[in-house]
Amino acid sequence: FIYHDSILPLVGNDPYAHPEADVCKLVTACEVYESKLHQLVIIQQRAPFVKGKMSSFRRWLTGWVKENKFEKLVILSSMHAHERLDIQLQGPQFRYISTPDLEAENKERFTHDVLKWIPLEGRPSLEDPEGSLYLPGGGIAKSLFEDCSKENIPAIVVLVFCAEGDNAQDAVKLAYNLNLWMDLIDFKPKYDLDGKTIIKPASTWRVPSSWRLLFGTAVDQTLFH
Amino acid sequence: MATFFGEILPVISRAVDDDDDDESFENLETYVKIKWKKEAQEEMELTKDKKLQANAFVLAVGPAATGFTQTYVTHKNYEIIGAMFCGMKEDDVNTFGQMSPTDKTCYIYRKCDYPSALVCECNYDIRPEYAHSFVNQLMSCLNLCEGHVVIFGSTFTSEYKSDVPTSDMNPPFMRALKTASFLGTPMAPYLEQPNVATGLPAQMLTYCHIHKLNAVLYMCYTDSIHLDFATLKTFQPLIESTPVKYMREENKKASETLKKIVDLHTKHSTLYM
Repeated sequence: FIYHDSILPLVGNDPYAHPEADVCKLVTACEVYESKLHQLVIIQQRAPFVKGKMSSFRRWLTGWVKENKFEKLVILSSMHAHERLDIQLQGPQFRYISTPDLEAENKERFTHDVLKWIPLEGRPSLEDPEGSLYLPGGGIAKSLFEDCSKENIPAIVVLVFCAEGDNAQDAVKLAYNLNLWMDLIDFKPKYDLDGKTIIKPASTWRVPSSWRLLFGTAVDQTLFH
Repeated sequence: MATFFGEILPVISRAVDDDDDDESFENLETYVKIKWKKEAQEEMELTKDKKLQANAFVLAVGPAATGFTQTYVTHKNYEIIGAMFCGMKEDDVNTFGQMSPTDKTCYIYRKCDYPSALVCECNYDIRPEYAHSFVNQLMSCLNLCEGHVVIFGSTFTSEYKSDVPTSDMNPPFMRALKTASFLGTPMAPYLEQPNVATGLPAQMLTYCHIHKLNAVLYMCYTDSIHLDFATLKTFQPLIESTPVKYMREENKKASETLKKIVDLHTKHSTLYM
């Protein structure tokens, strides 16, 4: 768990359980998951930040990343679709921004035919005609990325352009692209850590039960009687 | 955003922007303050870890939950040993004398013949941003290792999402969530996804979950804006829940007490009478 005063409180039942299951596996506002097989740690934040405490959280997080000597930090984010530049209106809606060391390490893979990732275009402004990093609606992604650059933590932000609403498809797009790069979920069989057991491949992305009823309970039909 | 009828509503967006450091809540740590009675403080000093031993702890949040505990638990044989204040300035004078149940109070009661049973009745509307500080300050004074915690709260049915239309759910109804350490079965169905609990009750349950305490949260979903009988009655079966069943006090005048509490709250809602 991450129990920090910058995150608003939230509790709920297990979103990954079978929809018919009648058990209670509590989830809280910010949890940390680990996969030894993929050498991966994931932080899932379910609740928003307390206003004014975002920088406190960023400081804590960068400290934690350094302390645990993570190889790199991948920040999943998104950007307001209505803030796109003209050239961004068409074509793939997926972008990335990375620190120079990660860029050098991965440049070939990113530009390769399979990934074909496009770096986020800078936003020209009066102060900076070259274009600077502009991520409206991206939460703490921009400032966290800038903090990582200052602290020499290799970091990459991966994002999609999306509009407010049902962003389930945008999330799947983000996950799909991330998976193409990091090869996390296999859609073909693979060996486990012990080298012997075969892991069954996934057939498709699984939707958690917490994605149901995004727009609330269906309208009560008795209203129209 | 303009609606169909032409009124302008604020747009609520899940997307967040980075530049929020200008606004901030007043210093969160000092905004919430806990004050203990002298006797309780002296007791705490005597223990090794400077905490009060608690085997049973009830947190009631909101008028419905506090109405329930006032009627069936703390109405007799309980003494006030502490209080929590939100937003008091350093030089304000505060006493324990506030009497009306609708006052913005948050008192901590202890059972006279069972001193490790504590009840915190919070009539206040504590903002979620202060919940972290509230829970930390309160729990840092209590030693709850082997104890049981129960949290009562209430919210509106408009917050509840389900495939079944709300009118078919027969509000008010109860839902529960429990920590992993609690091995029993709560007295209400589990809160189904995609519903979540937020605010002070959620903060307390999170604290208990992380510290491996036995805790259950009971959330009452009501469709009434003001406190009414039906909502209070929904809590009634919970007097048999752990640990309330060991802490309750028989109240022969229960219905009268409930009526008084409901009347106090309805005074504000009788606009046309």
